[in-house]
This record gives sequence, structure tokens and C-alpha cells, in this order.
Amino acid sequence: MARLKKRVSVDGEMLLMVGTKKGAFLFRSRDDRRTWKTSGPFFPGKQIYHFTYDRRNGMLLASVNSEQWGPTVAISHDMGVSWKNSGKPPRFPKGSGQSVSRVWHIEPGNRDQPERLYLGVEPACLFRSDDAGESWQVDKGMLNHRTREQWQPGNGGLCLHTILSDERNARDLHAGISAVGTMFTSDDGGSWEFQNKNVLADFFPGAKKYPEFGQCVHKIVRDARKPDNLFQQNHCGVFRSRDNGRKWTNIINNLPSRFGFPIAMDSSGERRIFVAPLEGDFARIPAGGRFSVWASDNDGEEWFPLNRGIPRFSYFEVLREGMKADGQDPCGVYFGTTTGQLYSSRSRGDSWSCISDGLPPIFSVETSLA
Amino acid sequence: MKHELERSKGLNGGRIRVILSAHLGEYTRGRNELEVAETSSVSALIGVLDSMFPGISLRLLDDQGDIRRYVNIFVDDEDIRMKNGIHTSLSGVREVVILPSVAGG
Repeated sequence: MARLKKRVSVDGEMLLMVGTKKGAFLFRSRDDRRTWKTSGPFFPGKQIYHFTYDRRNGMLLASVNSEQWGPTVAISHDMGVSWKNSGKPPRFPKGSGQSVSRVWHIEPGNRDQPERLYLGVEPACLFRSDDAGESWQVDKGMLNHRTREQWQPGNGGLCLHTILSDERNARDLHAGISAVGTMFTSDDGGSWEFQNKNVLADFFPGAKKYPEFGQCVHKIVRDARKPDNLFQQNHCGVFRSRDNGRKWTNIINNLPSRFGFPIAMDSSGERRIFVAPLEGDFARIPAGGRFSVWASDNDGEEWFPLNRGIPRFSYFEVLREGMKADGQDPCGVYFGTTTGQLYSSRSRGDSWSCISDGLPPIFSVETSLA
Repeated sequence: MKHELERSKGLNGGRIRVILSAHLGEYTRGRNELEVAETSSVSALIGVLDSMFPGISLRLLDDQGDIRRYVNIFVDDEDIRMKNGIHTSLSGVREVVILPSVAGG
């Protein structure tokens, strides 16, 4: 996800964190993203739903899932040489009747709360840590939400997969849940409201097409330079908000499909939005068997394909966490596929090259300066 | 027959042999077999294991204190799900085996 960063030339070390079905891999580049040195897998055999870097504290964080042994969050302060699990991993309170089955997205908090982290889990709920991941507390406002018993899972489970903090106000937070929609709190989780106005949900036969909740949001990004601008890839379209999520506009326009999972944004200079359309929920394959990233330079009014360097025959699938932009200038963009290819672009998607072609199925890609 | 006799007389010396999946090695520092003093129940045994290997109970029990779905615990070769779950008595028991289900891809 694009985070608010200072614009800097890429003369430092760029990190690329890749979470896969069989472990986590770290790619590091010291030559302006031309070549990459790989380490890992960390947690071999475990499912890494998200692998990220907290630049405030110089630590790697991984959402580690095991079907047998359950989920946890792992932390490294030495670039993966050693790891420790959270001492008190996310657990629902006794008596709630719920157990964390998977951990999904980890999000560092604001700059003025250096030990604050957020975590989205399945079944959908938010956890926060105020000790840099050592312990996690459930968000009671979300746990006890008045509609919670009506929430239904999407195909990937009832998961909280997107967390947007806001550097303007540490008490403001957005969360994306499949298939519940976008939620917003302005009091640090004390209460949550839905932000699904004008977001289509036409998969309920005979039901309202624009319900209060039940939307299948796939991923949301914030424009770091104009933070009231949000963009979301949804099951039923691509949507834009210019008022911090209060209402949305469908911007599929000339996209080949309304359906896809990831969405990324270049906020480094001229704004560019990236999506990865699939034929539809009925056929989750690229149109015509050629994977293309589609981009827009005018907030979704028009879209164009970016596939130079991507094979003509490419039945790639990219999951919701699988495409990110690095926010540098020029912006780097990266995507990882469920067939183990990792691609990068140093030119805002204008051309692509394959960094690695033999990874396990890729669940997440994240990027940061070291 | 002899085994049954020993069990009825509590002739296991008040000790329980515990065999743990190698997957738990990050908690047990690689040990996958040990002996502990007899405890009253599987639940109590997990408490003992957690005091020896902090955090291991989080891998065996879910948030509500139930055995994780794909964790299997055998008490003298019997699955505790066929007995009394984590409340299964360990009185006179010789061996407890903790293994993951054979599942997944």
C-alpha cells in the first residue's frame, strides 16, 4: 500500500517483501532496483498472508498461518536473520465464541505512534498493538458491532484485509472486509460506521443493489498526496472517493472487466492507479489469456494496458495483496502471481521484467525503503 | 493383559511419556520426546508443557481453549476426541502423543 513518504532518490536500499503459500522471501536492491538479492524462505511451509516492513522501527513483520498450529505474527529486527513470535498473539476474548483462524494484513501506525501496529484477522476483526507487536488487543468496537452477526464471508473467508491509517489524524482509520465493505472509525476504534455509499453489491439475488453493508471490497488504497482520495477494487467494480470514503463513484469506464483483486497507486508525482482485471468472478483468468496491468492517469476516467515485458501467453492471477507501488520517483511497481512469478517495473509500469520465476504461489507483495 | 494390569495399578511410576510433533521444535528447542510427572488431565498436561515451553499452548489450543481442529492428541493410542477432549483423565496413562492431522497441500 502506498504510504506517506518523503520523495527521495532511490539511492538507498529498496526492500521487496514477498509472502507465499510456503514461506516468506526478502528481496533487496542497492542499485536503484536493477538487481535483487534474495533471502528466505523464512517460515518454510507456512502460509504468509502478508509480509511487510515497519520503517519506523526497522523491523520486518510477517502474518504466519498454519492450518494445524494456528496463526501468529512474527517479528525480525535483523532483516530476517532471527525471528520471534508475538508473546501475546491476537486472540479473541474468552467467551466471545470466536477464534482467530488466520492473520491477514499488518499495518504500521502513524509516525507519532511509533509502537502502534494494526492487524486484520479472520474472522474479520481489527487488532492493535502498542508495543511494536509484542502483544495484541482486539478492537472491541468492531468485535461488538451491531451488525456483526449478519456479516458473511467472501470466497477468501470473512477477512479484514485492508487497513488505512491517516497521518492527519491518528484516531481515523479505514478497514476493508470481505464481504462486508469499507468501515471507518474516527475515535480509534471506539465506534465504526460503514462507508459503502454508491458501492454496488449486485450478487444478492433480489436484494438491494446498494445495501448499507455486504459489499465485497477487495483492496483499498489512499492517495498519499491527497489523502481524501481513496480508490478501491471491488467485486463489482473499481470505485473512487474524493471525500475520504463518504461516497464512491464507479470508475470502470473502459476497463476490460470490473473484476480483479489488487489495486496500487503511484503518489510520487503525477498520480497513476494500477489494477489487474480478470475476466470476472465466473472466470478468474486474464482476458484473452494475457495478463496486463491496467493504469489510469486521470483518476479512472480512462484506462490503458501495461504489458510490455509480460508474456503474451500469461494466465497469471494476482491476489489482493499481490501488487504494490514503491512511491519513489520514478515509481516502481511490483506484482506477484499465484504461479510464483514476481515482476517489477522501474518505470511506472511502462515495461516489466521478471525478478523471480520459481516462487511458491504468491499471496502478498510489499515494498519499502530500508 | 500385563499392560492393563500395570495401568490399573498405576505402575507407570507416576510419569507420562510425551511425544511431540517435530513441527513444534521451535518451542521445544528440538525436543520431541520427554517425560513429565503424571497430571490429572490433558488440559493440565498442556499447562505443564506451556510452563516448560512458553507459548506452545497457543499452538495447541484455540482462543476459546479448545483443541485446534487439525491438532490430534492421543492418550495411550486413543484420540481424545473419542474420549473427554481436553478434560480426558490421564490417571494411569503411559503415553501422550501430540501430532498434526495429515491434511493440506
